[in-house]
This record gives sequence, C-alpha cells and structure tokens, in this order.
Amino acid sequence: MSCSVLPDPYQEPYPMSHFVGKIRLRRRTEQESVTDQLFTAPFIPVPNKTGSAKVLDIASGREFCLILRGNSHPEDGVPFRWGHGGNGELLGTKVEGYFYPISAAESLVETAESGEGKLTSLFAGWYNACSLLGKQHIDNGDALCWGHNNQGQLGVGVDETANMFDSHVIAKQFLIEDEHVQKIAMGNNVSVALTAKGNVYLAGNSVWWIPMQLELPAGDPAVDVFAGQNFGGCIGQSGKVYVYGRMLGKNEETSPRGLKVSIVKDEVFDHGKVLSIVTSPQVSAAIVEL
Amino acid sequence: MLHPGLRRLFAAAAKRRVLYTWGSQKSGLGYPEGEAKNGGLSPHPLPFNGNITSVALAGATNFFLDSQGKTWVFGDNPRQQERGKVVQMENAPKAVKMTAGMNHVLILGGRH
Repeated sequence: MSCSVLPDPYQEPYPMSHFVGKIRLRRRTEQESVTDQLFTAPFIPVPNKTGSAKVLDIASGREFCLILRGNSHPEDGVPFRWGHGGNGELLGTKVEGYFYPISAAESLVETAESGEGKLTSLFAGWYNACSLLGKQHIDNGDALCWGHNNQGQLGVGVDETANMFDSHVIAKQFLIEDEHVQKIAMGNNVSVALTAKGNVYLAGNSVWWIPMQLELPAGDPAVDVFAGQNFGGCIGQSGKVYVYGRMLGKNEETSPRGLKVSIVKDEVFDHGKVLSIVTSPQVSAAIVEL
Repeated sequence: MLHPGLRRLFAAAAKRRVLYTWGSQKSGLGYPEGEAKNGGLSPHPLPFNGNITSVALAGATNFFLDSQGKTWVFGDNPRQQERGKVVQMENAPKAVKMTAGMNHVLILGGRH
C-alpha cells in the first residue's frame, strides 16, 4: 500500500513545510485560491526513502507523522518518522524535527526494551506514540511507547525526573502484565489500552503512572477504545459507550482514586450501535450503525 | 438477479454507518449552523447517504472515508461558502486508512 500526505492548505506558509520540506505541496500561484488548491492539488506520495515496500500502518500526532514499513525489506517493521520531535515523539532522543521520513531503525536497536521485536502497528497521541511489538509480524502482545510523558500517559511507570516542562520517554513498554494488548488510544494526558480479553486499562492524568483497569459492567467486553484531552473510554460489544472522565457534558463524576466508568445514554446516539469514537482537541466523532 | 422490489426491501433493511459529530469547534462539525444540538456539544448526524468507515479529525476541517474508499471532507469548507456540505475529494487515492494531525492528513492507499 502507498502512503500520501495532504498538508493543510489553510495556513500559509504550510505548517508541514516546517518539517516535511521535500514532499510539501507546491505553493499556490497568485491566480489560485487556497480553496482551489485544496480540491485540485494532488496528494503527495511519501518519498522513496521508504522504497517501494508496502506500508503496514500510519499514525498522525499533532505535528508529526509515523509510517510503518512493510515486508520484503531488512527494515520491515521499522517506523519512519518526520515532523516535530521536541518531545521525543519521533522515537529516540529529542530532536527539533525531520523534514522527510527518517528510519528509526537505529533508535530501536538502541532501545533495550524493544529487543529483537519488530513493530506491527502504530498509535499516536498529541505528542507521543506507541506501537505493538511482535516478532516476524506476529503480535506478541507487548506495546512500546515513546514521547511526552508529563502525566504518566505512556503507562511506563513512575518517572521521578518528570516535570511539566521536560518529561519524555525514549521507548519503554506499556506496563500491562499477562494480557495481550491489541490497541492503544492516545489523547493528550490520557492513554487507553484494549486487550485481547476485552479488558481496558487507562494511564495518565498525573494519577495513573502505571496503567489501571477500568471497571466495566460484566458481560460487555470492550471492542474499541478512545482517549481525549483528560478522558478515556471504550465501546462495549453491545455498542454502549463507557467513559472515564468528562465527555459529552454531564457524565457522572468519577472518583479521582477510582476507575469506575459512566455510561453514555443510548438516546445520545439515537439508539444506534456505536462502532468507534475519534477525538481531537475541538471536535469529536462517532461512527454509529443505525 | 434480484427482483427490484426485493432489492429495495433489502436496501431498506440494511443498516447504515452514520457519522455523529460534536465539539466546541462549530465550524468543524459538518452541519449547518442552527442545527447544532446543545450548541454543538451533543452528537448530531452528518448529512451523508453512504456508509462511513473511518474518520480523521484535524479540527476545523475534517475528513472521512466511505465504504468505497472515497475520501470526503466536511467542516470548514470555503469552496462551498457554507457549512453543512460534505464534499468528495476527487483527487485522493482509494484509501484504506486515514489519520490527521493539527495541520495534515495521512492517507494509506489501497491497491489501484
């Protein structure tokens, strides 16, 4: 599969030009409006730094991009990254950023916790990211996380050196024992992990430096997870939405020391079955089966 | 070959995958002002007839994929000079996954 990028045409100069450089969209001519460019300019293929190899997965943080190189190459399972890297979100030590995709192979080798594992899928938060670890593309259920960790949102344990302004993790494992991680949803201060058993673990908010399990109703295992600014949650097999923290206004107040969830009322989504939820700082969206 | 009546019956019975949006960025919600529930803070279905499979949120301008791999844009959309329009991006590759950051969108394209 191929990978393309569409810079935001509403900004001038393009924010992506700060770090995409060689693959940025052409600048518009004086005769072209921004609007014309949005609908007529081609998507730009990610350049052949990644060769013609299949792209396994993609992820977007606030100001950085990750793509996971596919098979048939020595660097299969290696992420390529570009964009802003001031929080360590580009996997490795903090850098100002890269203008085009750069292999993270060396960073993985330097990371003892990655071992011989290959990465099999990517998830990005605002200023951090995680990936599932596997060998020969067989997911082994562990997750590796890196980047901003000022509130423990990477779930890698207590970092005594952390402070609000300078706290990043080079690459450590998301601490869930005896469970097989399938997905990690990453917001700003919160991350939420889904396991193969349908259990859900939450990390962050300056409280949960080690991931803690959400208290879900019995008989409705989670099938998907989501995370936002200061909230996280999951969708049960039934399509019900369970939230820890505040989402959609009047949710039940949660104890700062407990992980009891509140249930979003069915009528909020016209009694449909919610399949997934995606959030951004200003807008959230749910795909609902009606 | 299904009888046209049966085809209509099956089509009516088929479930649709609809996108609900909410949030504080009213221009990014994808439906006309005035239709927003609770000032945009309660979910509202996007006016679109197809089946939505994936969504990527940049904020003011947002994107989704339909079941045919087509990319659509909604939200702050100056081409239409009004909000509430969902417009197909004709030049986008057939896509299988899409992610968005604050000022960019990544598209994972399928085989053409």
